[in-house]
Amino acid sequence: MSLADVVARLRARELSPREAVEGYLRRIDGARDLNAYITVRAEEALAEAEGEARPPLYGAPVAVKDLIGVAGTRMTAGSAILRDHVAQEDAAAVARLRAGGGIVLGTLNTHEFAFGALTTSPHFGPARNPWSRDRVCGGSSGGSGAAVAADLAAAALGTDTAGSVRIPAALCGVTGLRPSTGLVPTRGVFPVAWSFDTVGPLARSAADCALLLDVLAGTRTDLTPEPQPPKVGVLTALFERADPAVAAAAERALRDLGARLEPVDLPELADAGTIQQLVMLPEAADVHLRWLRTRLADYGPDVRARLLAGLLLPPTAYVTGLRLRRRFGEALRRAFERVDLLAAPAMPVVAPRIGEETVALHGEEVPYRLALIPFNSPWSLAGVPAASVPCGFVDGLPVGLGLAGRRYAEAAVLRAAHRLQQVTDWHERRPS
Amino acid sequence: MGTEPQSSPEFLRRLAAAQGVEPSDEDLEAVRGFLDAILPHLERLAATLEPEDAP
Repeated sequence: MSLADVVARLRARELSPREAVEGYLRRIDGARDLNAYITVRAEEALAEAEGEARPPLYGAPVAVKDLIGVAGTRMTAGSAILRDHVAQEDAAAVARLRAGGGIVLGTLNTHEFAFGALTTSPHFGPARNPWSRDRVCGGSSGGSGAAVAADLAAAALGTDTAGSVRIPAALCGVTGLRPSTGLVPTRGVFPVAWSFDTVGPLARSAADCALLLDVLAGTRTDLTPEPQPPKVGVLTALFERADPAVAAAAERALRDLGARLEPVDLPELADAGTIQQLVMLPEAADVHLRWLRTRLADYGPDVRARLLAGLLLPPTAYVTGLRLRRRFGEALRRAFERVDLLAAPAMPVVAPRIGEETVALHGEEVPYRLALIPFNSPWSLAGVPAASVPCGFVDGLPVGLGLAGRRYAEAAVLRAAHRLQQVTDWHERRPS
Repeated sequence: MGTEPQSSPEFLRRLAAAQGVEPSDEDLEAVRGFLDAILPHLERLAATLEPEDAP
């Protein structure tokens, strides 16, 4: 069931919050092999279901990435270092979720410290893709993607620093939104890199994402279609860079959307990934400096290498990155003077197998991490809203269409996604 | 700004030590891979900035 369906049944009292929680707990128990959850709050969620069912969520059970503090609940960040850490208070996003009538079922698997795009923590094991259990869910909010795809929560919260909501949404066949940087408070979320970190929803549909965003951000998202379809800039360089079958699915979705399409050549995209690394890596290294000094061996090798790279970049790299980020943001603002949205495949490939570190692209083996950066970093770098919307399947695995909008134009992004979901049913497909 | 000295294991080890961090040889090799990928782009991009390009 979608979040909207669950809420409708709760509101009509066809379903009680306790029954809803019990139903999801049974499903979670039956899908343990997915390793989507790190901590299930069974007793707490059942107790909370006895409280007042407040609007607009009326007791809908949701789950949050294990990077987001839930008072009294273990928050590991997928790490050995925080394995026994218990959050002392709710993160601001969780507090808003509860105030809006949400019940937190538990915390969801993540790449270690949310600093990678696989969710294959050496400390808690990989989250498995519900569409093919030998495949990754993407990351870093991989447990969130798996939980929504397998109906182990009515919706989930993830975090997105460099694609961590959009990547698992694409690879797990759900809808995910990275809001504009700063729109949803990040207090109580363990940081990856302060100036890029966001909290965003993963859910079955754009309408579900809008419902959650409004709870998280206090917005009032109107999905009513505009009289004219949106003008969408097609980022041809990214379509050409993606796997041809993935690109074809995304192109078909743009036609289905009925948008006014305009090819856009944005050469600045080519350096967006590098620029984000120049800023993100030193910020992350600073977050972790105390543990780099005292607990270096407790990190997984990939995260350790990234953090050390942030520590050992030349001292001027960070400021150079900030200067380049500003210039990139200006280039993107100019592009958005011509179009309402920019579109590309959300990911260049479908979910790789667990353990694979490279993906095949145009006959070449490319490191997975490097392959995905150009599709995700630009929107993080500019701090604009970006979504992944289910748009088809390749070899039985989901593909997402990426849509990005102007800063704080979440409604435009979600309206376009909703428009697509009115004429296609990709978002309603479920793994067997 | 030459890239080789800035990603050589000995330079990186001293820089890490100055910050109180003691990476292994294997760690430094992995870091070197990252830096060798980033530093040439940093140099190229930095050269495109004008003094008035503020952060």
